[in-house]
Amino acid sequence: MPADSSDLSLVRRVQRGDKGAFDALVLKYQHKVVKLVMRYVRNPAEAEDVAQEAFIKAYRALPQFRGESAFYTWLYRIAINTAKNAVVSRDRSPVEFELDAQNPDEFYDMQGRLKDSETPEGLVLTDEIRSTVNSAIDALPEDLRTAIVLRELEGLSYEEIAAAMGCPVGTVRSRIFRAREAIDRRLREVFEGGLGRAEELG
Amino acid sequence: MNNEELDSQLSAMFDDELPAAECELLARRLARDDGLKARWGRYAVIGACIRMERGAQAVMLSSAARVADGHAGASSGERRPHGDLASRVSRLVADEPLLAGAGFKGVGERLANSAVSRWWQPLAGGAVVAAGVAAAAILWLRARSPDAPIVGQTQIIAETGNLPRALPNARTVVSAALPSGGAAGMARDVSDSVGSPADADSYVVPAAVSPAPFAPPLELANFVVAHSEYSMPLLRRSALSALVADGLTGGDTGADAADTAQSAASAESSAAADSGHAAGSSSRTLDASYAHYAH
Repeated sequence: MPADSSDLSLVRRVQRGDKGAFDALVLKYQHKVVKLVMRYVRNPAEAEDVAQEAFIKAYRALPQFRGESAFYTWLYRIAINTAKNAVVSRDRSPVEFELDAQNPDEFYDMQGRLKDSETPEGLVLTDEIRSTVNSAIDALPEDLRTAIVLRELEGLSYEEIAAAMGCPVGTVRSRIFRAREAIDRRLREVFEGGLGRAEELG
Repeated sequence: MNNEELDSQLSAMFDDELPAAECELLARRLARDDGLKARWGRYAVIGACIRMERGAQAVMLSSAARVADGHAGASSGERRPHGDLASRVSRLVADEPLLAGAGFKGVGERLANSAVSRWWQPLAGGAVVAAGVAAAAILWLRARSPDAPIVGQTQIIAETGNLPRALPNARTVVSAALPSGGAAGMARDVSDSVGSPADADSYVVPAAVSPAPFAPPLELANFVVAHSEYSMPLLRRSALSALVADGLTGGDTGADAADTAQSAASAESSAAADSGHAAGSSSRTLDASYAHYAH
């Protein structure tokens, strides 16, 4: 199976004039792009603006994308260049940092910096979502939890996960799907309730 | 396909683990189905949470929530200081012009269609332009009166009176037609090789005559003279001789001139047809032509 085939399918649709397919690409990569851009700009709001600009640039440049590299690699380069240009144009020096889950001090320090620029409603929702996802993962059966963590955290392919868990690829696919469904059920409840609570705070 | 199977496919597609053929179908549905798109967005949120993408998460989760509930808050006018990146990008992209519209070739199609397979495109474009120019020229010519001479066209008329043998009287009249002069164009006597210099630059206004009886033989004779340089020397001589003979016999009436020119033309055409034949055959044709011209 060719790597990046799902992205290529969406890219082809965008190139044929289907703008809805570009929404799916943005939804999939917005977190990664914002995380990437935040190495260069100081606050989340600015990172979001730069990410938005990067996505628009990517959309306009899609006719030149020939599928010779993975879509995210291509998007990554656009985002980096956009962020660098933003830094230069605003006469700021880039701030480089990596969020490292293995380094709690840095993680909590960064958490504190981000909190300064966020609103209470956003924080409540964000924290609730994060804790919901974590508790949902903890509640998963062992085989489902292992499969989804190997996929999302370690970035292993289904074949590699199958080899690691000693089961067929089809089983891996099913386990990951069931894990996502279980987490998603909890997440939807939070989204519905979380929005209401956020408005109350506002 | 039931929903569970569809969602299972969506999960596999999110991980780039769905076969390409199924990806094509699902991508089409994903681009149009808001519910499926919302689920796709939540899968991204789950991955971001597991990877502890705190920086991105702080910005994006509120927008993911909006995506999840189908943009419920979008119309309520609520203002979120951060987030909703996907919705904003979507709105901006909606305002962008289509990348290619119909006929745009995607990645795979573009790679498949090499330059060789499009070799005819520049030719077709050139043919269209040429056809357009030709059509415009035809329409422009047809729009003009049949009597009206073409603007700027110089018509060379060889009077059939005398040719080299009778050089003292030979002259070529070049008539420069006026744009709106109809048949009464201004004739300029430009080459009077043996006439007086004063006459060479004189202008004469020819009498208005109906072009029907006069012009055709002159035109035909002119045609013969003009094209004789492309014919065989023997035939050229025969054509010219025929014209001279016609002039000597006083046959410069329209009918005779027409007959002369047509005969010359037929001789030329028959020569062209017989050019591959033996010399005897050609000479017989020439003899016949001479006989005809000499009456």
